[in-house]
Amino acid sequence: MILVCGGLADSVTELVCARLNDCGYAYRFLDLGTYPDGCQIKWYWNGSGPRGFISAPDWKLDLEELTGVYVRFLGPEARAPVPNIAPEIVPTIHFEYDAGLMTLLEDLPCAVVNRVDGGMSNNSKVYQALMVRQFGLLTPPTLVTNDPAAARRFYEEHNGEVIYKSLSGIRSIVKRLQPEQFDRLSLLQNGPAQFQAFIPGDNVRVHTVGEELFPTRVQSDVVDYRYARREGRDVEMEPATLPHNIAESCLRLAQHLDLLFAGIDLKVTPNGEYYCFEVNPCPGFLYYEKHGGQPISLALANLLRDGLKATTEPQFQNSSLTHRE
Amino acid sequence: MYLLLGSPQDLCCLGVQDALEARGDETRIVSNPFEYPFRFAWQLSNEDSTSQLVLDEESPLSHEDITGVLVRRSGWIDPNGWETEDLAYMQLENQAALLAWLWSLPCPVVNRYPASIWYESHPHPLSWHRQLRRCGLPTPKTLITNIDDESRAFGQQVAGEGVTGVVYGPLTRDIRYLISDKDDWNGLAAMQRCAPVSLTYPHGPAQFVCVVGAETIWEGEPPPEAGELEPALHRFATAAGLAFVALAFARTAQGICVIAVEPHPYFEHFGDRARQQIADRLVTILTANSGSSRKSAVQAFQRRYV
Repeated sequence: MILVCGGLADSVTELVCARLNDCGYAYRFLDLGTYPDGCQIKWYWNGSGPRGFISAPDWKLDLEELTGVYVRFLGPEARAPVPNIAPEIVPTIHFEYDAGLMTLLEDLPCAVVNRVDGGMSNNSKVYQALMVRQFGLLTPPTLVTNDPAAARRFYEEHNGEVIYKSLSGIRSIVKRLQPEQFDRLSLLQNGPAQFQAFIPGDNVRVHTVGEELFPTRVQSDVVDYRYARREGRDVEMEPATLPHNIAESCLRLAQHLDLLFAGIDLKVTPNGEYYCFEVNPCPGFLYYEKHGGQPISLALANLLRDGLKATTEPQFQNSSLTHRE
Repeated sequence: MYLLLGSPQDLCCLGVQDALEARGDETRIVSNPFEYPFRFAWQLSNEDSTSQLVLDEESPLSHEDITGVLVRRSGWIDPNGWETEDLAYMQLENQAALLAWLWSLPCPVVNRYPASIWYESHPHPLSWHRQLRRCGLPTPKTLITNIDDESRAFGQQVAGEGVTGVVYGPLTRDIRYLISDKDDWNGLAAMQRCAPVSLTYPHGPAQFVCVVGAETIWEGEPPPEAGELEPALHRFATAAGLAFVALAFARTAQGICVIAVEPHPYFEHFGDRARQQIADRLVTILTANSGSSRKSAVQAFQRRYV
């Protein structure tokens, strides 16, 4: 049995559910917009992984039945109001709901797409950059600084071909640094920012699903193609083929991050070099599946159904200290 | 220069600073190395990683000038003068930069936190259960539920083992309450109508133990189980990627259990003797590779991730 946790209005979650339906794979949908209203849960730890159940008004699911879980946590705007609770306390309550669910998901033995711990590296793009280098993918020349003069020097060194973006997981629009923004560099004194040499070429979004890989080439003349339509520009997408070593690097990178499903942002230069910018642990793949025509959701549905090969927890059974019933 | 990233009042920073300075080493306690008026620039490419940190105009610090880093805070920003939203953003940017920079340094860094711990420095004990279990460390029975009958049944199970009450604690805050009388249970039932609650066994007084590199330092007399626990503690520290971590053990009706994990150990949980041992051991780790090359950081990263 598959458990899908997400929002009714979230189009990515909707696609996952639609694909599971198409495939005829049994699943239960836990609506995080209203959770835990109408649900009953009992999760019990007794010296081993969690046991127990989750039930909604029309279903009950034993944790031992699970082969896979797909989860997309929701922002506050997608949550139902919590009755009889002061508005200022509501975020704390939501945080508590999510923490309980995350704790469960981290400890389930089945396939979980994705466990939160695996995605934590995405909170620091430059930390990911260090990791990327170890897996044979290229990292653009990067400057992290709170020093306006250092930013100016970096700009000069790269002949004015420099972009800037956030360091953390907070989504930011990637923009070119322009001379008219130099006055604003003094704001760096408030905290560091990330500058990178602009890498020419086509973007390639690679979705890894377990051991499967779906590269999509994105052609656009906008620096951040995700916002091309906002600028009235076109984006073209088509399935791509990666060199074997690059494909292998992507799969190993996702595996090392404990991400069963990842969206890896690459750029291929006219010389055929592959730069990696980010590994997204919760990719909104709908856009790519729709425009690139690749069966990403089908691969995901299969992964959730087939689960993982049973993993044996290393246990120290001889220890008199571990309490098991 | 040894950088001690933390509050100037932090007892651990102060203890390590004293021990390093007694050796004649230069130290500096800094809350946030990226906060004005300090200047910081770090360049990273495929081949290279170089940085410059200017704490004093006269003596800017390159990667190689930093001989060791003790990490007690993850990029704290003084909230004065900030709008809440801007502060939250800038806090995340600082944390992101600091995490990565610490991993790029060639010198010993204690701790070179994995991202999962860096961003969740005080997680609920339950979130450690999987790792503790895998390393052979005992954990208390725990229940998360929003069903009143299940909570009460858990209470009865505990009572059946001769213990009064259960311990309730939210998953997002480091506080615990004993649920023992009728009013407590009614209050818990009211909370459960709003959110699932986490319940566990009551326990006796906590005894803290600190793992610092290859050493295990107990506060007070080690428990009789110490011989069996210590190898498991080292497995746990290694698996968690922490050279410096404290755990709290306590006795429950089931026996001795881990009731807390502190990836940023509180010196306050240890007496003078243990503090001195911890500080000395931290200094040993920080000064171990003082002549080593950049290779060591790369190797540390590779050992962990490749």
